Amino acid sequence: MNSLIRTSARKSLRQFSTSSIKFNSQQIIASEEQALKSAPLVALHERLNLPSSYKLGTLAQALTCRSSYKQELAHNYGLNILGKNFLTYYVSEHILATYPRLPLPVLNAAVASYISSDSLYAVGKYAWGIESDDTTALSKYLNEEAKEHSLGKLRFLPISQTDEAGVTKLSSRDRKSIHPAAAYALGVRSIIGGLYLSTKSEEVTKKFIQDHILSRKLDISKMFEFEQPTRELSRLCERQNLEKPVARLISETGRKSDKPIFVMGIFSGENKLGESYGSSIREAKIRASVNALKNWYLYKPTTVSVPSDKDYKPSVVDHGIVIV
Amino acid sequence: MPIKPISQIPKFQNGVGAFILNCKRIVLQVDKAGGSSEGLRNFLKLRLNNYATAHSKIEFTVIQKAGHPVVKGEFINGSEKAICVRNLNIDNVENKINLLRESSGETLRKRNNKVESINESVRGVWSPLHTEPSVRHKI
Repeated sequence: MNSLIRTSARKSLRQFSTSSIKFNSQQIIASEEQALKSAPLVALHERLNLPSSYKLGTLAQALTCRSSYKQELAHNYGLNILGKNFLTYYVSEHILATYPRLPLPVLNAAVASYISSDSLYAVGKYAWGIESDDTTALSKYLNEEAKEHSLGKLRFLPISQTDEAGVTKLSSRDRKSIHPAAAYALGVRSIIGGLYLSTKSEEVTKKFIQDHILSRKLDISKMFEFEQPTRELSRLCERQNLEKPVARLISETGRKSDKPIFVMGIFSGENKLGESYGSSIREAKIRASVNALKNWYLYKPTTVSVPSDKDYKPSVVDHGIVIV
Repeated sequence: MPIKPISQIPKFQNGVGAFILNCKRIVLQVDKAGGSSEGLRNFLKLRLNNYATAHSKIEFTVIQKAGHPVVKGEFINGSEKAICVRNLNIDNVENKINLLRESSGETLRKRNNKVESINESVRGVWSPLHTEPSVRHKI
């Protein structure tokens, strides 16, 4: 019963909120005068250093998800697709050019780390400081909040995560409701899509993505988990026509004690491929093999240039992952 | 699959690439008639307009509420800092607002190291096992 009452109350509130803001036609972008009245929107525009050609109305559109109550305002779905394509392209080419030998599963995981919903949620919420529009229409009315104020907040219909004890849900979940992380990701992608639409410049969009998305620190060397590192290394050496890898003890201490340390190196002929430590010879050998494999896979050219650069020079093209 | 990826979330480094001002909103809570609010009232009357124009990256909100005046900063990391500005004159109120504007929003804590970094040491960590065996310390 409780939930039924609540949904009916929500419906009436929804009607209230849609009727309280009068826009002229279906699916329109908020005008500059309306948008200027939203202090959070203007502040966000300034905070992100967006160019003046980026209209406030477009920014408000980027923050309106399809599921939001104000259906008559243009939503961000299209901008989001545009932004997603830009993000995928620039992030992929950046990682591929920086680490040309990265194995495909790690490459995909690295791209996802930069542009997954969770990652973009962190950008939107904790780097750009975008707020979500949580307050109900009733409390807005009671607070005498201007109708346009919420244009500067992320508007979406959140999935209700709390199920009250003893309350049975009769209606199925609202299909349009989305997780906050997904909504923030939509918002961030749309802001990037809107930047391209406003400036019509790939350079500006690329710079923006580099500054805000790619400038975060990601340690790719911690993203590997090898199943058979020693075997993979010997296959790699075979493929690259290197001498068979041999593990040699470089240094040790306390062999007969409780806590021995061994430092092993992996050598291919005269060349040392990798080195690491371990509390047993076996462990040190495996760690050294992992180190050697990471040295190979994480090769980084001294000058990194990406295909979208004007003076692009192709660097290493790798043979791909080692098949064990 | 010989290699399994481990997913990670990249760490935000404000100022590497773009810099985003940490303070996003300053809420000025003022009493209409109370004597302790006089400094903040003067600030609202004489300086807020210019101040808000000069710092357009911050949203300013004025709330009227009985009691001592409070200035509250809200930050991009989700934290809030509130400072009571009762009986302060206009200049001191502005100083407190400047304090919030320049704050990162992090809770103040004792820093034990002169340098804190998420980057690995460039020089590497000294290892006793890599020194020349003839001069190595013997247990």
